[in-house]
Amino acid sequence: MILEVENLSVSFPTPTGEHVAVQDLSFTLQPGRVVALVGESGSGKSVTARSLIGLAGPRACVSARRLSLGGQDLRTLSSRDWRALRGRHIGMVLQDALVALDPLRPVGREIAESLSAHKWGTRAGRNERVHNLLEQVGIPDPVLRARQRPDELSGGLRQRALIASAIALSPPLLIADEPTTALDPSVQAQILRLLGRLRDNGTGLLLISHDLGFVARLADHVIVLHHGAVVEQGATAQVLGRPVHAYTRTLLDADPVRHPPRATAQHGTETAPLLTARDLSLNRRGPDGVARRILSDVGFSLHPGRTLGLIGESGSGKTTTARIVMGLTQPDAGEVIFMGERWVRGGRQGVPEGDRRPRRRAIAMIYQDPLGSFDPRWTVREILADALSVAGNHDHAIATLLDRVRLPASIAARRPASLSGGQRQRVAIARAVAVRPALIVCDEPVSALDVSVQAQVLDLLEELQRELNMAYLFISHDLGVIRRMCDDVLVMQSGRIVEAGPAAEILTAPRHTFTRTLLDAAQDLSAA
Amino acid sequence: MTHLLHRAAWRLLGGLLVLLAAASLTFAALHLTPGDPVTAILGGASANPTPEAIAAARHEYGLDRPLAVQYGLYIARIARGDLGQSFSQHMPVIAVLRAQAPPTLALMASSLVVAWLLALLSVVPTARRGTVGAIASTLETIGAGLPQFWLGILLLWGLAFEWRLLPPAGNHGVPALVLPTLSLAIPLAGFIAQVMRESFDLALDQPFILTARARGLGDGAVRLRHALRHALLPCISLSTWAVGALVGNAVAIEIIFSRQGLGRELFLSVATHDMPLVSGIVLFIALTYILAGLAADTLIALVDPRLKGTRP
Repeated sequence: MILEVENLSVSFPTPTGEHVAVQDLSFTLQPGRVVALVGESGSGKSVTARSLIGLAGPRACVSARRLSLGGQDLRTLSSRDWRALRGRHIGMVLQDALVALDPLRPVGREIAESLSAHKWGTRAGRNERVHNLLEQVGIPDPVLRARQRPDELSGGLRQRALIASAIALSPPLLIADEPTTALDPSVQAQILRLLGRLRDNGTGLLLISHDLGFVARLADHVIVLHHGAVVEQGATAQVLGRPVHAYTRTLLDADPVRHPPRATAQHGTETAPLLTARDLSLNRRGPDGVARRILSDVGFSLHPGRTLGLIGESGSGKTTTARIVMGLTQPDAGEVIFMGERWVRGGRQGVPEGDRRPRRRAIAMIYQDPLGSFDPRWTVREILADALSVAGNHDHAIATLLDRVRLPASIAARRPASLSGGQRQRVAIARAVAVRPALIVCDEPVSALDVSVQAQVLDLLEELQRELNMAYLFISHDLGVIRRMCDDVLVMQSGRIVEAGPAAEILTAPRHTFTRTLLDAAQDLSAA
Repeated sequence: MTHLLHRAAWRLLGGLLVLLAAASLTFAALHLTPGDPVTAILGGASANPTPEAIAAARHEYGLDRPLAVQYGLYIARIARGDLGQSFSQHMPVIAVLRAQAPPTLALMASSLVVAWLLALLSVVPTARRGTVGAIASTLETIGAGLPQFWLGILLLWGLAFEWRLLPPAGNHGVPALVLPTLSLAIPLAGFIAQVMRESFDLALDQPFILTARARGLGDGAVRLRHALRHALLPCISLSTWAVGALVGNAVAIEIIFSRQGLGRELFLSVATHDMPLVSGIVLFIALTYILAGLAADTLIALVDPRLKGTRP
């Protein structure tokens, strides 16, 4: 069964005229082959995917010279015919299984629904098929897992369950829209292998991703989209190896793996540490009422002007560590010394907030999702004026700040919701540096950004660090970003530090097996 | 399992505290209102009780003792289930409640059920359906804005007097329940539907809806099996509030339709300054409200199993 697409265009009517989301896209998808759609947010990738299964929405105008599946013209399908086709002939996998599967239902029922929607088998037969499918995608103990909800499964397991629900009827074609974006590298590598196996078994894959490394590993044919138009397409090796178009080159160069690693000087270490954490431990009662160890004996020190990277899988305690360093979470034991004085003391009696307040301005934070950290009613000017928190006319100071983060002064009058992701993160950085902090805690600061924007934001963070001699505590699951930004690295696993040392050493010659697993997974995904 | 029991115990304690607060308020009302509490107990200023009756009541209610002791006695009496004598009805308050509560509870239950049915019918088939959805949404807004007593009078005039389809008054059987139920249910349905529509629309935008459609599921199944369940949660919380509001609105409706019930009784007892009966009804309403809250919590945990055990 072959999917043929010729001159596919999708547009949406808007009050200001027609918005063209995709224009003149052509490709052919065959069993056992992988076609990748590559591009940044807003390039029309997802709209394309939805158009192919007739779910672009009631307002979309979809046109094509040819749009056919196994000889059947898709342009004239009735909604009943579309329903018969979805799931049976084309499956679809979305980004984050936590929200792409119904969060209120057990995953087994979601998978069974793929079968019952097409009146497949009896109830008992469907249950058996669900268990087989879960086994097929590599989920151990399928009978138990089928009864669990997405939030009770780990990121890797629920993404597999989502894939199981898409391949329940063994559709010959599968559309995977950013199937690994929200996942840890080791889980990404597992999903990559699973998709590779499906391809080897004859499934045709349409892969949508902004992750060039992932695409390079899997795709036979790459299509690069930019603002809805195809800028380049061809065999993977050719497009990614010898890109012709400038935009493709920009995308490739932005990949942090291609950036030289950080040139670590021995600067900073001879001075006293800016921040020292000792033996931080934290227990929390889980939903089942059993106390769980979140952090055990975490300790490190951070010198002025240096960057300490914190890596590990989700749930390993990275964000908890950051929150303790910020003085937002009270640990059960241990202490943090900041600027020579005690900043956090574990146990029931912590450091009073009044003692911290004079030093609060010396520590700032940048989040993964800046939008959630802004008051949506405030303009950029109000956000920055609030951060400067001194009376008087701020216009000059705000202009300087915006200039510092390479934003035009005209942005001051706008609200965060009307800014792009990259601009928002720059405003967040401007807010963080407004008070001239000695330390910025960066929690996945570029994970939600497109690669080219990501590269620019990382450049900015480096420049600001040099200018203002700030220290960064840098959390990321992306080893490419860590390699590029960090002097030292801490590797965390289940609340413990399993390895610590200079970044150059740990990222090239890891001693701990867990670090090696992480690196291998990242290696699997890199474009090399 | 232990934390479930733990949680149930906390809920029970919370409920008891609310009851205690309601009892304290009725005690305060009895003592803070101008005049001698004894006259309030014995039938207000116009009752003209004999000095012997006053002395007896004073002693019986402990009104010759310090205020703190009186409060203690009052709470202890309520804890024993003794709500006192209603002088306007010449019988124990408990007996009045026993007679008057069932018709009101039946009215509240039928109103709540009908309101939910109307809301579901208005939202589920029309959400995100262009003009139909806009019309339904407008009707919901109008419904939510209708005053119950006005609607009641209108229904009474139209369906009972002009067309003689339904009985205009009384407590006998289901037909007598129809008009009062509609008067209470239509505005409530408007409120519930507005909340339901908003969360239904939000749910339809979620990625799992796209996944379900990509499986080949039809629109009706997507709405009923996926979106609706997410839209129920805020409506269940709203229904707890609705139980409280229904009691208040039942006052007007029971009078308009000359129905027996707590609402009418509350009105009459306030008018005759029958403080023991007022207190009894207020306590009963508080109890109903607490039980409704417990029921809502249980329902919410059933609809959203993620919440099990996460709250204290």
